[in-house]
Amino acid sequence: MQDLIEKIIDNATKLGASYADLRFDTTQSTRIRVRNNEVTTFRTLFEQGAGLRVLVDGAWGFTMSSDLKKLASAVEKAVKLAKQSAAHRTEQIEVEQQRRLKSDVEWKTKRAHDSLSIEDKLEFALETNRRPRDLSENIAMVDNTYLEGDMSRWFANSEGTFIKHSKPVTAAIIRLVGKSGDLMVVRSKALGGLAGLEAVPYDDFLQIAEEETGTVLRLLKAKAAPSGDFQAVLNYDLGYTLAHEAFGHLSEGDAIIQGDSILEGKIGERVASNMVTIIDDPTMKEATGIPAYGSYPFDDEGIRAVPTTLVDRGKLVSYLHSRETAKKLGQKVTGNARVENYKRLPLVRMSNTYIKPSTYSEEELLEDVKDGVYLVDSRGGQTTGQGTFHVGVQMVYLVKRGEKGGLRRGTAIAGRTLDTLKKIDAVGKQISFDIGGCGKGDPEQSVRCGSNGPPIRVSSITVGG
Amino acid sequence: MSDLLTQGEDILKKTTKLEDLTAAEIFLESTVTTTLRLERWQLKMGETTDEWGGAVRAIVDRGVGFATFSNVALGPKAMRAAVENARAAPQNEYATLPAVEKAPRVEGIYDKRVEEIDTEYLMEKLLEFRDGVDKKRLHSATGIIRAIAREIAVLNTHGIESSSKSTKLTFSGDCHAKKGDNLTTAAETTYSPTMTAPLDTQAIGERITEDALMQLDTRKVRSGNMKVVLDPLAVREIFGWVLAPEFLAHNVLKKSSPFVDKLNDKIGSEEVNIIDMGLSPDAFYPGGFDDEGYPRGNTTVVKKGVLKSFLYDAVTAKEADTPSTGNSGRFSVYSRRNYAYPPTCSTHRLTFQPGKATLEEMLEEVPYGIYLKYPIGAHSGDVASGIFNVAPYICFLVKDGEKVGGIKKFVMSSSTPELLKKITLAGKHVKDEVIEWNEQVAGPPLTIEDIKIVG
Repeated sequence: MQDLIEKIIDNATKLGASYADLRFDTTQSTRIRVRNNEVTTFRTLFEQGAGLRVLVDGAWGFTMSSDLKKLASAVEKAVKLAKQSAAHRTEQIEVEQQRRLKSDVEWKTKRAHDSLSIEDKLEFALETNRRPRDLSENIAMVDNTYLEGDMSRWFANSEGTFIKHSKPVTAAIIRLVGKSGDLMVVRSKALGGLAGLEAVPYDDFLQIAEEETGTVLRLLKAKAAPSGDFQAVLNYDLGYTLAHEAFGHLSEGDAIIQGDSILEGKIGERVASNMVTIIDDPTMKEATGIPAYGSYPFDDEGIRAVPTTLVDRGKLVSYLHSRETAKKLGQKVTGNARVENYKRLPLVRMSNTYIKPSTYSEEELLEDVKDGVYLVDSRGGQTTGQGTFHVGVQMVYLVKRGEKGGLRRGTAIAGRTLDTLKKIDAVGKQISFDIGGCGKGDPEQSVRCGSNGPPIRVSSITVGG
Repeated sequence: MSDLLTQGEDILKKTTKLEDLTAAEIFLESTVTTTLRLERWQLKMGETTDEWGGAVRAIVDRGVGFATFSNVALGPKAMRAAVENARAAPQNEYATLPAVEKAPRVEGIYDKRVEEIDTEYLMEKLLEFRDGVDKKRLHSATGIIRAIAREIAVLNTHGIESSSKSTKLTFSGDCHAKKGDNLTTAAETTYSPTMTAPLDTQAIGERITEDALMQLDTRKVRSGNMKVVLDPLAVREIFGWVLAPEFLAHNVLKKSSPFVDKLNDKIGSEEVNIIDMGLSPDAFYPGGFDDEGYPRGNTTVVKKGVLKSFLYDAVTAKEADTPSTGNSGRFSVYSRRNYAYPPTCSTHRLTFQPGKATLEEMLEEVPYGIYLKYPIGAHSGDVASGIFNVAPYICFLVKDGEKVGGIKKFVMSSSTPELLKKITLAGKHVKDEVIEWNEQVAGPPLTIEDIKIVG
């Protein structure tokens, strides 16, 4: 197989490519989804294929196939497409030069996926689904998913780099819908990591399911969230969403090149309060030693993973880069080119993006809030290059004179990213880890990202009500 | 017989030899795509992709197992895995595969000229877009053009053996204007199944130039309840993410929709007429049969505000004891149709029926309000309750019937039941937007009265 991969790359350079790289994936995964005791998905996935990218006369060409032999015969077409694009360019695309690298990295599991029978996994998924509904008739729907997978990616390029990397993933996700009369509320939680079965201790997740059932029942008795501008403490998940969604996407080098980011030309400028340091770290590990959910040893251009400080005490110091965007913008490669799978092209993506913890305990964050809100857990966020964001919030506590009080139902926060980052006046000391995902590109590519960070406090933020 | 059907027949035959099998289904999909990308005025890239994949759904007694594979060599492993999963799965009294029914033929969904597209033609269209956007006044522009040729085949042990080919030319363009730190965006998409109606990419470039520039005059909107005109792009976003799933039987039967027990109830204003146009050649994934081989139809979901039907696949139809509406699709959130997902209920082209007003006439009736072209945040809306909050991405303040500038910040809070009741006007032109993921929605502009805006 390695010979064939090297032959395909060699052929691309013979046909005129100044640079070529190839990603060859082999994935096997199992997914069990249960909705109100009905197993709606019980899937085993077998996926294998390769994608080849060529740089010819200063423009890119790409082709992919689930059959390596077919890919070999499509090289010529990819080169031709690149040449056609190049004919209409006035400047050539180049990639930052890198040294040749050979590596074989296997992220091992402590408890392998095959150490437990499929029947046991199925029973875990069914029990997760049953337990909340047994606890209360007000739980109208439980929708939970168990996922495990083993993925291996080989990366090779025309500079002689050849990297093999394999990693496991295990995750469990639960979504609860509570109903009382016409009122419905929703709560979701997840547990998992880039590891074997040890990433999802079944008893721990069943306990989460029970705890969240209690939360749903409390939400059913809660009033609607208030609306307007409030002083607010955002829990770790919302602090992360602000760092990743509202800010991180704006720092991606491809957005800068496309002219779709308000951070263009702002290196060295103040973009946040001096309380804020934002880091993207693909080498991050959880306290258990398991790699954080967005971690990788090499990016999908074969660049060794390193942490990148994006904002240092309020000042923008770097963008995130692929080899192309680093070259174009005259900066260092950061190792942030990622693909969802062999079918797609590398894009500049985040890994584990978080606000660096400071010294405040949760009590200290709250004690200076006179009349505000404590916002808990994200329901997904979205940003725009023009620097505005929207983040769904799962639940809200009112805060009066530093005391966390009445619970309110979910809402949304929205605003201008840089205004909001400049209003961060305190950062918590406790970093929490969670699993997350991020979508980007056309076609959309979904990659795993760590939903990690400390809680933060902002002096004012718009809450949707 | 198509190559895909022949391959499917072979896999089905082998699957049926496996022990204990009660019923089985094979789904195969082949998609060949040519893509060209323009990035900041420059041609960046050409791509040719050949995606092939298959899925086996196996039923053993009443247990259902599923497995997928990305090339023929992986097929035998997937067959065995599907059957093993089915053996382990709990009994599902509604487990079923559809039987043979004659599916209608939908014309105008395949054009050999698109399948065999000359990339020079795509290049020309991309360059026409570049000519259309005003380089002197704008900060940047990006465009993506694609020619897609897709074939699917569905076979099952109840005799279904169907295949269908379709083609699509798609274009998405966006541009940005910048003044100081103020960056604005405008975007538009379009598609056509054939070469008969060529894509007018230059006109798109011209239109979005004006939208981006106009938003540079950024205004604040005051908080309060007001009239909002939703552009078809906003209709797609809000109703695609939140409303469309609420009509799907798998959500209704699991009590995860605000429209549970509301059949034949008045759920919207008289202006609300919604049909799932399963047989429309303009559906993004068109054809005469759904993704488990059952005939599609045009299903009236809401008529003059009254809820008439939900959308069913074979399993949910059996559970609800009603005929299937042929609404099986293979999607997941954020995913294009993909063999890797098990069939579930899906819309084909859920269409708000047009009214009589032009967009200008609709705006004329807004004394102070919002023309929302593209919101962000609809994906975080809650399907179970219909509650959602969105913020603006491409949006205009309207005063005395005129767009007067862009708006960058507010939260619009509502729910789908509220929105349907407050639709007072539907525009006369339905526009299809490129949406490759689940819950395909098309509509005209819609005027909504009295919506809460936190500015």
